Amino acid sequence: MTITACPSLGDLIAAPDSHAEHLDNCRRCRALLRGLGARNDGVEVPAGAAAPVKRPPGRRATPELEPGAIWSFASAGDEYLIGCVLSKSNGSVRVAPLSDEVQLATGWDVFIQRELLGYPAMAQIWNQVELPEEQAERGLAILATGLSDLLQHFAAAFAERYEPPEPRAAGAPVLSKADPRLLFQAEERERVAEFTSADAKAAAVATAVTLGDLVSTRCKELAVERTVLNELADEKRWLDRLEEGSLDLYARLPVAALARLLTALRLSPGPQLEHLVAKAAGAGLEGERVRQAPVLARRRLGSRRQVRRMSEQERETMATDYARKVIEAMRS
Amino acid sequence: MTDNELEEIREVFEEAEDLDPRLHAELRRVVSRFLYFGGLPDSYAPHGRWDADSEEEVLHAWLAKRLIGGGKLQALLDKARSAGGFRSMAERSLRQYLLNERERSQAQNLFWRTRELLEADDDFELAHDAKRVQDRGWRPRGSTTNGVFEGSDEELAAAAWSLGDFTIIRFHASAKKLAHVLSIADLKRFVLGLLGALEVVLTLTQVMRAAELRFDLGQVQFEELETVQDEVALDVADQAALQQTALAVIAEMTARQVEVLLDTAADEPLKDIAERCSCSQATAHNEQRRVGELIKRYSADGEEAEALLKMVCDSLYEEGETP
Repeated sequence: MTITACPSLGDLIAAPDSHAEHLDNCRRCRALLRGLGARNDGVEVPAGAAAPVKRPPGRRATPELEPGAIWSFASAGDEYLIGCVLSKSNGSVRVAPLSDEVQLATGWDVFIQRELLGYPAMAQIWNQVELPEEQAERGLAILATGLSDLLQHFAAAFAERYEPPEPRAAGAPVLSKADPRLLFQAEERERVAEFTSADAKAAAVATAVTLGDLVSTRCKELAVERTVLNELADEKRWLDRLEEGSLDLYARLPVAALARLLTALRLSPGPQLEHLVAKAAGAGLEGERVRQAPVLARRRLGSRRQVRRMSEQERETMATDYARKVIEAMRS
Repeated sequence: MTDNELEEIREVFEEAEDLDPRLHAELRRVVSRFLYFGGLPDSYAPHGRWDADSEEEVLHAWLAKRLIGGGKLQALLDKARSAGGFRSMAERSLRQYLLNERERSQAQNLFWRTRELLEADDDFELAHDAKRVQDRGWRPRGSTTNGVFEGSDEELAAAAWSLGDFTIIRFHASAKKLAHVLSIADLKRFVLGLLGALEVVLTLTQVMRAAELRFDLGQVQFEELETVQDEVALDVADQAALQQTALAVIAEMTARQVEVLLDTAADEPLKDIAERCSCSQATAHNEQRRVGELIKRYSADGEEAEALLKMVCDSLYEEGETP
């Protein structure tokens, strides 16, 4: 039995037709619709409704995906996983998920002060998860060195099955199997597991198989005039050729130009975009050749430099480097 | 609000001084729909019925206390991947806020009931007298413990959590008065359990602090306590109210909990329930526990819980299905 996440009550009642496929598989929602009845919400919201309350101060600028940073991570569902990066290697990051249900903190939930994210949270050291970088969506904040070190300390202690190192930095310990917080932890484990499923990984990349697809989709979403975008770069018809897969990105579109274009499309400069740019740049480098310098310093008359195909390693390095610079340019 | 609008709002939220009008409108829409579409029974409304005034009151209070004041709006924006996801989470936040507000209003009542319990029940005795009621020290009758608790909030909370589940009563269909937070039996179990776990003398202040940490009820302001809060009469509940409550229970359940409930009601073995729901038996068992707790929270006693459970199941059965 597979059921997708239920829509909100409001969405279900106000527009049941939009959720026909979900309703076919969800007894809960069918029962609510039967009992409460579909109806127009008739909610008239006055234009330009006044903003009633001032917010607390904002957060720091977008951090890199490195230990000590807090990022959101995507899966196939409607919610992001917010987590603190503990370590990074081989294209994956180890993350301690964050929860704002701080009243249910246990001895292995380290408190994150409200001033950092704008709301109190706790890092679930007991619920660590390994996620591919492609699933990283957006950088939210960066921990102060002291707190980052504290999380590492907790993670190390947890791995060694020691006691929590700084009890005052975390919630009250669990003393009994009857503790209801363990039920919450079971729920949280399940929630986090959705982000490590094969579906989640596939969804993270499948939402945009190529850079061309992503750009094309974004243009439609923003109702951007293609002619306007096509003229933003010196390269003629760059957008059309990118979508066709016939543009040699690395050779034809300087870093600054591509960064400008992607920023104009309001795309987030994250690992997923970097991956797509690298893939597109790498595809354009297929078949490229490099001239090889002669082994001997002295040139023979009439000799020609050896030309060879670029190795896969070289292509990958150039493409990765190019993508990294594009993302850096977008962030600056 | 569309997915694109959510993205735009999220980008500017951290820098803007004021709330984006589109976001404000969306939150208002969430409140309106939730209240008018039956998210919670009418008995939760300030005057027994949801109307434009109570909607306005709820929106402003939710914004001030929870969304902006508590920072939850930023959390919602961080976690929502789509506009639909934002609305679902906002609705859950609204429900929890309304339920918590009701529970917190019972905190003062809990002080008086605990005092009454300690003074009148033979299973407790006064260990240390004091001028102020809340400073008097109590222990189980027959205990020789004399030391008053001097530990931290963490120790108090850990001991309180170790006592297991307690059902916080929110509403019951046939109520003619405001429901107590804990039944008298649970209250006694809580206080005796705390004394036993810590093996100390506890003052009423300390017992209330433990309750505050464990049940998230808000602080009891001792200086304001003058009289016991009068019991408020509610409309007599009938089948319609029971139905309304059943739908509120279903709205709080997940799709999987619904399937687990019906399979459990049909006496299916746990192994089969787990297989059908594509989860482990431990998870299926946890879901049974959660559903059980949910039914109890909306009931005053076993009899009401049974009636509510039957109404929930009846509401879930579809044409042609037999209970």
